[in-house]
Amino acid sequence: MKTKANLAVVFLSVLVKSKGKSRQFRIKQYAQAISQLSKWLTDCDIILVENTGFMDQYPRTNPLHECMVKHNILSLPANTGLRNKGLGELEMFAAASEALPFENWKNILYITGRQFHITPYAIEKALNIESGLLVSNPSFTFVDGNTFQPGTQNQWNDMFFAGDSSTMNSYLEHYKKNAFRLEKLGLSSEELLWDFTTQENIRIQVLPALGLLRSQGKNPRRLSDWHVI
Amino acid sequence: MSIRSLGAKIRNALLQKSNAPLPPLDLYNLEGTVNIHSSSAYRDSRYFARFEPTYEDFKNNLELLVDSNTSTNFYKYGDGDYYFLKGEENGSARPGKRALSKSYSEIDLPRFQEESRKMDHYLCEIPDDDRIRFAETFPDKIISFPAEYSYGVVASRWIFKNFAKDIGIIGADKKIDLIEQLLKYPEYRNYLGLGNETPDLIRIPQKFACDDLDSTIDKVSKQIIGSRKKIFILGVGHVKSGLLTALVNIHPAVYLDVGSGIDALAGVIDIRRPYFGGWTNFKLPNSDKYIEIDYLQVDNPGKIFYLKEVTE
Repeated sequence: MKTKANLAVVFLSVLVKSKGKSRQFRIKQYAQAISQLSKWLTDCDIILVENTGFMDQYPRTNPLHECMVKHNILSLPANTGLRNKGLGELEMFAAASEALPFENWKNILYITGRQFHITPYAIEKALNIESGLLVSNPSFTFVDGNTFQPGTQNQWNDMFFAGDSSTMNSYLEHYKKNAFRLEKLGLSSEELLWDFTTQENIRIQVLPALGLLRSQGKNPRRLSDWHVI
Repeated sequence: MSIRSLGAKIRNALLQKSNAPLPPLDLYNLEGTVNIHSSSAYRDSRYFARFEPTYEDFKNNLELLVDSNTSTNFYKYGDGDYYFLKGEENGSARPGKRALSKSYSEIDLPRFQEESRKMDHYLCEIPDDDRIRFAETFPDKIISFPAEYSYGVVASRWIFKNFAKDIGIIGADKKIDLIEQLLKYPEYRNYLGLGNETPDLIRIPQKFACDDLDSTIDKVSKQIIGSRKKIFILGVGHVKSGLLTALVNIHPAVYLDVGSGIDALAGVIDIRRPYFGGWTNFKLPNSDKYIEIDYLQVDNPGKIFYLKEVTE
């Protein structure tokens, strides 16, 4: 058995505080998103990283479990994770690099799991990076007609970005060195990514959009919360 | 007992009761490992001076011994060995539990005791209790290195990265079966740092290997003769007390007792065991082999890597 050329690290936090129907909806949403995503991830190994104990604690008869077991899964202890979601993902990313040393792949894709990739555009770009990072800071276009432009330009969106494995390893080192700033100064993970590209003079390619459909609110059934990035 | 160590004990007891994770320790560091073991010894700098530099000596020694293809053994002593060598029915040394099915009067205990005194190197964990027991069992022997080093070289995967071409693994047959299956996955091989190299895998009976020492030695001999590997790590339970001295005469190699390190390789280690706090337990897809495993206590498996089923 050989590994494929690239590695996609996909983050899931399934068993958050939601209960009952809301939790079921979340599980279904993750299942659909992962299923959709895996269609675009050709020539790409996938590692699903979950940090709420879903694999160990939740009954296995559910659509997400059936979807997940088709891929490699790194299940982190349920108590893993920092307060901030973006920082939690960085912690999960570090755990993934420990379990699967990144240098065995050409490019590494960093993907938040609960969103729909409605086009392979960004993924195709990511799979073809020669060096450096593929980043973006797109506006959010809501289906009810509103638009949201991220307030600061000193950040890169980290729901999806990618880079060659050496650069992604360097980013992890940058994260470990600056973890205290994230917690103490309230620096966001998006700002950290920006920090990295500017301080380390990383070669970047900027995407104007990601082609993601996602819901921002706690109630994913509310149409006005859905938007395209 | 000092107020400091009493405080640490109370804190640890409370943390264990709540099942909350213990914070990683910043004393007695071994590169590439995390130690969340609850022993107060790991929180007290007076237990072992020059812990980290001596670890470098230990690794350098291993490199020299492997390079020169020296035949030697490293015997890791623990509390279970104390009871076993005294013939006391306790824990893993209790007849019917793991090491033996017969009573102590029915096995050749004096032979185990005699062979255990002939080891080339002795490893023992740094907490006082273990060292006091060691002194009682082997009053005329000295501890060569802390047993924690044997955990460290496995937990950090240093031993696989350094000796990828030269390493073999000796363990209970059921666990070796799991390791053999896991080695088919590049993810697991990459994690260990083995690349394309394949370790020799040597099986001993999972249970009651002490019942008939000659039979166990014979089983291992048949598998190991002809091997080209220069270092074997092993976790074989109490039979090591009779087996290790035989091994150095059967096949020239370094035999390093890593104890529960073999459980880590099989993906069934509790991360609270010393220096395995950062370990990732790899699990085979849809395997019924796990129910056959004689688990040590695995309340805290930590990070688990569920390997996908390979369909192509």
